[in-house]
Amino acid sequence: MPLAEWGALSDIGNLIGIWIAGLLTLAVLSYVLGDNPIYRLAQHLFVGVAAGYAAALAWNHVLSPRLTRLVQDPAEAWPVALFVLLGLLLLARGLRPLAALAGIPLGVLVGTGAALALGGILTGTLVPQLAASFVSLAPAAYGGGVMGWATALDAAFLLFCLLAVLAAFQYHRADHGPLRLWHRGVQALGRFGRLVMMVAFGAILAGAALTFFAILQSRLAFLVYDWLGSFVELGL
Amino acid sequence: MIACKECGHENPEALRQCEFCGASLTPDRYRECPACGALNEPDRAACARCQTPLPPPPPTDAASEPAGDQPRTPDEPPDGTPIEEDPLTGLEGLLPPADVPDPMSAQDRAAFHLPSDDEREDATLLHRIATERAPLSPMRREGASTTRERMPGGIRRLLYLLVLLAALMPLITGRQSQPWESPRPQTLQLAQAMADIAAGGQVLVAFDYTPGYGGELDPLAERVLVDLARRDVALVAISTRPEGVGVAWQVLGRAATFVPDYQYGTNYIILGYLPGAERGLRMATQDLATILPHDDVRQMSWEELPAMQGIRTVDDFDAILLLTDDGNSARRWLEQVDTQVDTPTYALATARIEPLLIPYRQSGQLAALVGGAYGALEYPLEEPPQRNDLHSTDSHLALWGIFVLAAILANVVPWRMHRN
Repeated sequence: MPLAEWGALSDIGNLIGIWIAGLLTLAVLSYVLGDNPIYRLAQHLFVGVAAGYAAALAWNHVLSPRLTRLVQDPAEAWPVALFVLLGLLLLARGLRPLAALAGIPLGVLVGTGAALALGGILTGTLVPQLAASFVSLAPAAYGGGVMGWATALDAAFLLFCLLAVLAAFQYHRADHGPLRLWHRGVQALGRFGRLVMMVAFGAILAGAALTFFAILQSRLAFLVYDWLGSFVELGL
Repeated sequence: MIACKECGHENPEALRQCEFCGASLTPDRYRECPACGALNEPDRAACARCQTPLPPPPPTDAASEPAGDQPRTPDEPPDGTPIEEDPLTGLEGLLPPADVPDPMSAQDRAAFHLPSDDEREDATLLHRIATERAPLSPMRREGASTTRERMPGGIRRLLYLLVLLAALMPLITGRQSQPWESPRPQTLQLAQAMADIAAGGQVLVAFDYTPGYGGELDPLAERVLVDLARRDVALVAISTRPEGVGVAWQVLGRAATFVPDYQYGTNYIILGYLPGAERGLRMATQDLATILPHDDVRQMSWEELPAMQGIRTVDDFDAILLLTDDGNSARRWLEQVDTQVDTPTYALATARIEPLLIPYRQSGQLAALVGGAYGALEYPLEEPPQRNDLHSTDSHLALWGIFVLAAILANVVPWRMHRN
């Protein structure tokens, strides 16, 4: 086929893609008017396409290459056979007499996953974040001067907020016992901690609003520039 | 205080059941709205929540008593029927009185005391917990009203319209606020870090976001990737999410069109989907070539791809650029990869998860963090790639105005309704 015809076909394909995307965008935006069949059709389409895409990708890029390697060069790729066997054992869950065998791959999956996740949380989040909360409150540590004082105050506020949030999770009655005053102090600090958490949740909510606003803008830009632009291309 | 009509116990005003005997306190005090179920003071003519007219109060005992000048005797029934003779009349004294056991010994009686205020408070709390109605719908009727009840339809539609107007603001104003846009320190830090990567360097780009968030992340990713491509840095794309591979095809392919002679295979490649979540990432730090031995587009081995020369594990890259819309995904990269390698990690995230990642930037685990569509606007780049988008500070300013308006309306409207 001549190159010019390929180009023309590509343009037509592009145009069809723009129209499908435009109509689906309008279908999703129709939710503003309430739940309706057009919105639900688009929703089901997106879920189905995403699931199909993930399944195809898992076969093409994960399973198929490894199975091919195992068939072509079993001497070198024999460890793959072990994992294929573990994968097949998962299917035994559907057969009542063999269902117990599915526990072996599940044990491997859950065991390694939990071990890695726990180790990762400790070394990647808990310990570094704890270490980061040990801050110096001396202005000299930040170079002194106005900036040093400002940074030291910032660090002190960070520390205070951290302690306040921790205090917010102390659940006990403060009216009894010899540590009554201490408990009341912790309760008061916890009330400030709840305020700090509210501010943090507010920031997260504002961030989410910005994200969805940006996505809305992107779809509107698509409708204005690409979809409505295609009307001009078609001479409408 | 409300006196219980059954036992006479004095109860706090807020209670709807007697804290002593459990008898209902509400019917005599409140009237339930037939439309929304809210409980109203007896003297209200319309429901305080939905303004539905309330039915007239039921007649009181005094009103239901028969009219007339002749007072009834205590033994006379209200309808005037004669009293039948008691069948036990005249049988008193036939049987000897039985011994009635005393339920409270003298010791118990001495130890008995009236409850203190604290004990009464505890008992009240326990009673409320034990008798609180569990089903969701009655609780919702008594508790906070729904969004639709708080915000009438007209105001909601007005807010939709205002948000739409804010989104289209650049078409109306022509991006008036552009001269005042200036990059934040973290954005300059990221730009400087990208500039410090030497020509011929290799950067691992993790496309860990779905196409749904492309509207926000694509412009930012495109700017940074074009910046790196212009510096002749090789880009290697990977994703721990299946949809991320498609995003990588689209974004990297488009970025490459802005840089002459930036070729697939030589300058950039897409390695593909890295399965296994934590396990896959940890494995990648040890032997990436075994997990993903071929590229995703041409199925070529690493030896045939100049962009992969000298690479075996994640540690061999000059930097990791993490593009993500998911806090868990970012956390996995930091916990499983960043702890195992010396390669610095830079994150480009959606504004939604940016606050969750700030602690990692503060602790130094993330070398830089830039988020949101605003990050794309402020990232310094000469001759940025042209896009047909509507992202601008004009829109953001308009959106903040709408937030303030919505906050005022959401508080003032219910307050006015309550007062009326």
